Amino acid sequence: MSIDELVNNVRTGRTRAGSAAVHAADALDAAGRQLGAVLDVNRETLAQRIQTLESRLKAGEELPLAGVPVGIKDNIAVTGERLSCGSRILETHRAPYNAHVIERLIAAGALPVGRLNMDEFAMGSSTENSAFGPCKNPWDTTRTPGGSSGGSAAVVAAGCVPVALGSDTGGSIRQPAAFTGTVGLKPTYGRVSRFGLVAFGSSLDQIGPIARSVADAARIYDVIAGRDQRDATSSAEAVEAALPGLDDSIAGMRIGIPAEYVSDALDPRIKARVDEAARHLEALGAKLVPVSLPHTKYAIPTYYIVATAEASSNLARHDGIHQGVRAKDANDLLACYLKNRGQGLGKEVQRRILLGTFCLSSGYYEAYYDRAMRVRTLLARDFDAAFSQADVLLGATTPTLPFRLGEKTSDPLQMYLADILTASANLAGVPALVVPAGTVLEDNRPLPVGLQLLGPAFSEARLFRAGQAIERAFKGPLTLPAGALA
Amino acid sequence: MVDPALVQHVALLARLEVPPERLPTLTKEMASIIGYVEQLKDLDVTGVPPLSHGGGAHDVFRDDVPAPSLPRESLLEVAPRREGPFYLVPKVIGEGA
Repeated sequence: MSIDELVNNVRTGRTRAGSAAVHAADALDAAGRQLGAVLDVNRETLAQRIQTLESRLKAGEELPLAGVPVGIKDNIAVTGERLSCGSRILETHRAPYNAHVIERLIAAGALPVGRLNMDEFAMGSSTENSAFGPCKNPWDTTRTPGGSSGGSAAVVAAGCVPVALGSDTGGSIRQPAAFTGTVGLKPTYGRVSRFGLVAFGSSLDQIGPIARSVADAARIYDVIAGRDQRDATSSAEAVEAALPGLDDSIAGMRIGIPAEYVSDALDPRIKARVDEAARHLEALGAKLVPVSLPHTKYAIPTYYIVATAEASSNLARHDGIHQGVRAKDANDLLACYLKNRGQGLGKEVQRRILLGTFCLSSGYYEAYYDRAMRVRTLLARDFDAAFSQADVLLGATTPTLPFRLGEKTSDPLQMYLADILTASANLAGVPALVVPAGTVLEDNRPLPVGLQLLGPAFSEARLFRAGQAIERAFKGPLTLPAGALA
Repeated sequence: MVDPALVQHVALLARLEVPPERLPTLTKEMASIIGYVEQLKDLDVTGVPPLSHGGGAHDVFRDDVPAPSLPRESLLEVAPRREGPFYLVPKVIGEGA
């Protein structure tokens, strides 16, 4: 059921305000847990929120998301609920306040339900780095749903919730969306407040929706976008609502096809879908323009310096003293820090903290961090040049179809390369939307393909419009084949 | 360049205890990742300014108006060990100091 139908049913009294959320909680506890996508479902707080919602509706409040259950990635704070970020060190941590996006969703009548699995501190591309076990892809449970927002993408694809929130630092919303046949948006940097999102790479992190359809993602975006004083990087730029113009014509829109995002290095079946989508858009009156983002191959090395440098600073707060889990055998303060962090943080998180600390350390700062910041400028200039010729860019999201669980866990570098087409958008701060473009058969099973649309800063409404056209061209949102989860 | 001593040094800076048996693998992994990011040296960045974030916002101030902050108790109660309004930690200064 779409969000629109669900809200209408609540408004007209056809269904009770809490029924969709209770149904979602049941599905998360069953199919969601079976997939390894769910860390917690708090029915007590849900029951309280439903009660509050019912009295607001009774008082005549008009709520655009009345009764809509929203799954929440475990790095976004909901008061009183678990906030573990998939990490041992925060296993027992409960959020003392609501994130800005949660306040907005609740104000709009939505019901946060479920804490969703993720790569520890959002570091990973397969949700195998969670301290609480890997998450599986509902299309093929021997494969990864991507990461780090793998839990969010998996429960949306499996139909447990219509929409979930994820976070994207280098592709963590978009790559899982592509791998699970869902729609995922990484908003413009500064468009959605990061207040209440546990920080990873503060100059890159953005919260965004993962949904079954473009329209559902647009509805959530319209509610969570906008200025918040508590995030100093939150933009004061007026929000152009995405929903009202969603079905407007795309005739005349210039669609740039970056050579690097349709290269021969991609799985040819993914490349073929980009070509097919481009032809559909052309048939609707869009104009195709070949463009280039020549520094794309430097995006991953730049990203792994910038993101890890920021992470090494941000994650210093996870010390087992102010919150989280304390090691038992420390005799002095230094040993306490060393042991709490050494025992509480997972291998990939430790690798990244070490890399970031190295890149910022005396003697290496200029050669690594400073140079990466300059290459970041070159990556941003690539986009400026492309957007002088095109209104929107269209390309692949990932170089491959969803890979198998365990396939890349032994080689960190191979895992990093899964983000080769997504990290640039975070480095440049531009928005990007992933939309499914049907499925392809692999070992006799259908696997989804997700295409990526990128636009200049604050062009989300335009991306959603182009995304809607692509969704229509591929005959609507994808549905899991019957029995996929059996 | 990346050897076990460097990894140990960086680990201490980062306040991470690395068990000795992890050190050889970790050194190899760090060398491989650092070797990979070094391809940035192929680019000429002379005269290119650094970019620290993609948002374009600079020097953002809010109005200097007092407002309530989070209740102290809500933050203290998530600490693993505390005593009254304080975080409890092992002794900071050793007996020989």
